[in-house]
Amino acid sequence: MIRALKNRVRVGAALVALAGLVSSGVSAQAAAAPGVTKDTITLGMTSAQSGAASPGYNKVGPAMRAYFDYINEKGGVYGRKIVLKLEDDKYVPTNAVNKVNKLILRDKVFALVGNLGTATHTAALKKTPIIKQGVPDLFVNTGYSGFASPKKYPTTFMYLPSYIMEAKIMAKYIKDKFPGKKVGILYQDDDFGKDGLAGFKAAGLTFVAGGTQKYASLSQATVGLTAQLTALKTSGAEVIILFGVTSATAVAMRTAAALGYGTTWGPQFILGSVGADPTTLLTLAGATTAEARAATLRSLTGALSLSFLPAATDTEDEYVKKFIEINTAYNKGVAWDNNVLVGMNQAMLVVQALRAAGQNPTRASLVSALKSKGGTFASAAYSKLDSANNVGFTGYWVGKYNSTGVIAPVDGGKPVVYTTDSSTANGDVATSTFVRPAMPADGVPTNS
Amino acid sequence: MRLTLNKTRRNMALLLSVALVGAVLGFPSAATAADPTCTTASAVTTCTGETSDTAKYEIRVPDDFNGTLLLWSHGYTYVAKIPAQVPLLGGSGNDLRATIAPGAPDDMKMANALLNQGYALAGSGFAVPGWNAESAVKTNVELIGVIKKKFPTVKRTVAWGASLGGTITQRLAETNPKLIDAALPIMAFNNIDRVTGSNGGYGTDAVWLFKMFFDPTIKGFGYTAGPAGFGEAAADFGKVLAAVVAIQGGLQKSGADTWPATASLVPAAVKAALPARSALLMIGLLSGMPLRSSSFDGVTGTPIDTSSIAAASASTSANTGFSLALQPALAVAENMVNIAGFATFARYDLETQVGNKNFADNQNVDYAKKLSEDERATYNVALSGEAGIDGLLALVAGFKQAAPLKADADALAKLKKLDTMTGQINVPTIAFNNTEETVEFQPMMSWMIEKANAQHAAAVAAAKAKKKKAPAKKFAAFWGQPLDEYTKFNAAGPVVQSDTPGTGHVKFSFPQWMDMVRLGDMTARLKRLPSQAILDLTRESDPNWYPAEDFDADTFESIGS
Repeated sequence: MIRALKNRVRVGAALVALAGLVSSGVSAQAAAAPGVTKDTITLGMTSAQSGAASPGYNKVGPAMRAYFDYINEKGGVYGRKIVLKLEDDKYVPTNAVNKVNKLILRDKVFALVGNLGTATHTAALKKTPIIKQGVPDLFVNTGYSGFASPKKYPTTFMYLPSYIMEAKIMAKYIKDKFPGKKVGILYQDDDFGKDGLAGFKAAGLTFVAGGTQKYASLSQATVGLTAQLTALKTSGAEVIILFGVTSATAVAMRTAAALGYGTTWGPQFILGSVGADPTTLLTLAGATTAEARAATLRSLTGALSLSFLPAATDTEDEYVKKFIEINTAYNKGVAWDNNVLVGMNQAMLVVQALRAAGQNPTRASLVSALKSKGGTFASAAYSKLDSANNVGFTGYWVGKYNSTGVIAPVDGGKPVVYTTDSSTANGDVATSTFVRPAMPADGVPTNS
Repeated sequence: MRLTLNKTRRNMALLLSVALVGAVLGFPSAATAADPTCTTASAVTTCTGETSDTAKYEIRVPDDFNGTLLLWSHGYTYVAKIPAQVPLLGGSGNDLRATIAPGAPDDMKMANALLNQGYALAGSGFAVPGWNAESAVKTNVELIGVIKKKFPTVKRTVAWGASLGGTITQRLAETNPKLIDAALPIMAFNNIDRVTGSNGGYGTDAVWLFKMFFDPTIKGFGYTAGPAGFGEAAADFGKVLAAVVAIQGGLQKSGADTWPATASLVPAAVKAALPARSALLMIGLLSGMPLRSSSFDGVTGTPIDTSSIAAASASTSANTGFSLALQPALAVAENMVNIAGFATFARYDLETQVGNKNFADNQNVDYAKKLSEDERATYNVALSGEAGIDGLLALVAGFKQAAPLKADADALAKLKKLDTMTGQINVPTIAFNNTEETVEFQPMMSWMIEKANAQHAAAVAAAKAKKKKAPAKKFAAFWGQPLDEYTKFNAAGPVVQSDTPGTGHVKFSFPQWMDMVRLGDMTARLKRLPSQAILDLTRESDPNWYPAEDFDADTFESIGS
């Protein structure tokens, strides 16, 4: 023990000496932004890489990293290679706080990119120095409209269209295509669900008596959704909205099959976008039994869902085509799906934002560049990125799943894209006239 | 076991006499105390004695003394011995043995390590147990005089102390700055009134909410005078423990939720619809309690069974469910027990000091406003969704309407007078606290930081007005924190841990204690704070320190106290 203590004293002395060196070094590099060196730009991300909420979502971060690796091989951003530090928050808010603190205070990242989850990121914004240190917080992977608040969260920018937008567009589609039908909904009883309900209300969509069902987040995995699906069936709802996360959709679809969906019961299911990736749904089902997978596919067939990106199966799309190439070469062994597409597209936006921030980027210049130029960035999305207002994409198209789980535009041909905003003062939805920029040559942005 | 209240009464009388004499704290004088008795063995001279107020003290000076004296002030000791049959706390209390370092006199590891490094150590047991800040400062002043007379080789003095000892250290620095060269107040307890008295407050809310949700037979407030009241406090502590064990046992074993049979005020329909763990967590959130504890990190899930795909799938759900739904409630359960000892026995002490009347009041507390939107989102799962949150808040509103706490005005006024700490920084000071500290919770440290920053800003403005150089900062704050993940499991469930740095009450790692001493010694030698680079490097060199000075802690205002 005494020896250990003496060592400790020596370490202490060494720290004092080192402090002097660090001190002089700091002043010499005072102008450099955190996380930016001559050769690298270090970015940070937290996401559910493990745990019950991770299936599907855990592919987004690695897909971003794969795209950055591709860009690095092409020369990086003005010669700097992008380093992505990806931390696993397990979808647990307390852990997200720990990980974001680590990224900002110990790893000293330049910016955060693609942090995933409403509750996790709410906690991080409250309990970490994102705001205090002005850390750019780009392309948050959640549709919670509360994050698009330049006054409250000046450096936070959304990526997904908000859940309010999605609900408004979904409501318009239901009112147009299923007039007079009884509508029911299953939603998650938190900010995610509240956002959606606010959108439906703004659009004037009403639900049949007994047809408004909710589940406490995660209860789908522990107590199941039988009570809620039974109530929806009893309510006589002919159109049922499943506005939950992927694991909840998966449980709901299996439960619906058990309650006779496809044989004695035939409501039209409409899935919220964040819970609708078919590959993940079928993988989740397949993890239990083959029968569960078959039941999920049976419920999925003919269901509708909304998307802001092209279908991952649309291999004719120039973005999808290029991203598949990159995924094959730089994300080896990872099956291509909608989550990978989300990540690749997000990473391409990050590269454009970094380029727009200039040859010697600062945190402030990155935020400023995104606000002023983000709307012009190339992206696979079929709607405009409203980064001037810290909002993400602003439109959706409606698709239908076939018997193999592939989604395609509901009326065939090119998707019809609807656009709106997050206002709850009205339910206005318009058909989008947005013209998507072409994919940059070789998938490498050259903007400034 | 017989309660030692005769001794307590004697001590109370002594405390009152000290108060009557007044806290006129002047230059130290050793004239009234007998000279210490000293012996030398193993290259250390040890002196013991009593100050004029009969407080026992001890001084140890190594042969290779480096010139720095570390004057330790120990924390709160209950006013009487707690009966042996009281779980966890039985046998503790009324401990007036001289204490020269953290852990001493029972565990001398740290004391010996510091002696080995050449520091001289000293400390008193103080004259009275219980809340004794002003009395203890007087004792310390006299003790410094004894030391300086006996050991003129002392070149500099670092005062340090934890919990109530942190308060004593800060008060010593406020009232007698010329006697010490640096102050290290560790978890200094302040704002007694805001914590335990009017307008709810941490200690008040935690106990009152627990009582209403889980056992209305808990007295909690307005204890009877004398031994009967101490017995009531002991009974209350036992009831809190019993209810916690009832809830926690089910949660840890199977996640099954059990409302204790004593939860008689909660309607059966609510019990059927909402798990007890959500109510427990709501208590933690509304009172401002840390949501990580010595055993529960708020993150780690139950082990994953990888024996088959199906088993892995099922156990992954359980793993995440434990993290999101159970971890925060289990942490509150553990912290509640930690708080309950102080909230019962220390409340009894304080009520005794203010005339045996209740000083707690929550008539004007809007509990619904104490739950922030961020907390609703962050703990949505554990609180059983929006419906669960709204239902629990409605229940609390009903409790308050039916049985609000009403303070005795005279008792409350007297309580405020016990709170003498001003936060004035008169000597270079480094304050320490932990992010998950259960007794001196975050707002107490935030208050110190705010006070010190305001004082410095005023000094800078005054210097600027006189076109003088801005004065250097005299105050720095360090936050200890637990590691990200530390919950452990064995076949029976989560493993109970008691010494996790950053959690519980005054829990630091050994290297952290050594960091404190090193920084204190450096400060005393320099007569100013170490450079920012050294402070930052210290913070960044150990994962149990929060790696920046500006930890965004809760304040009294932010939690609605």
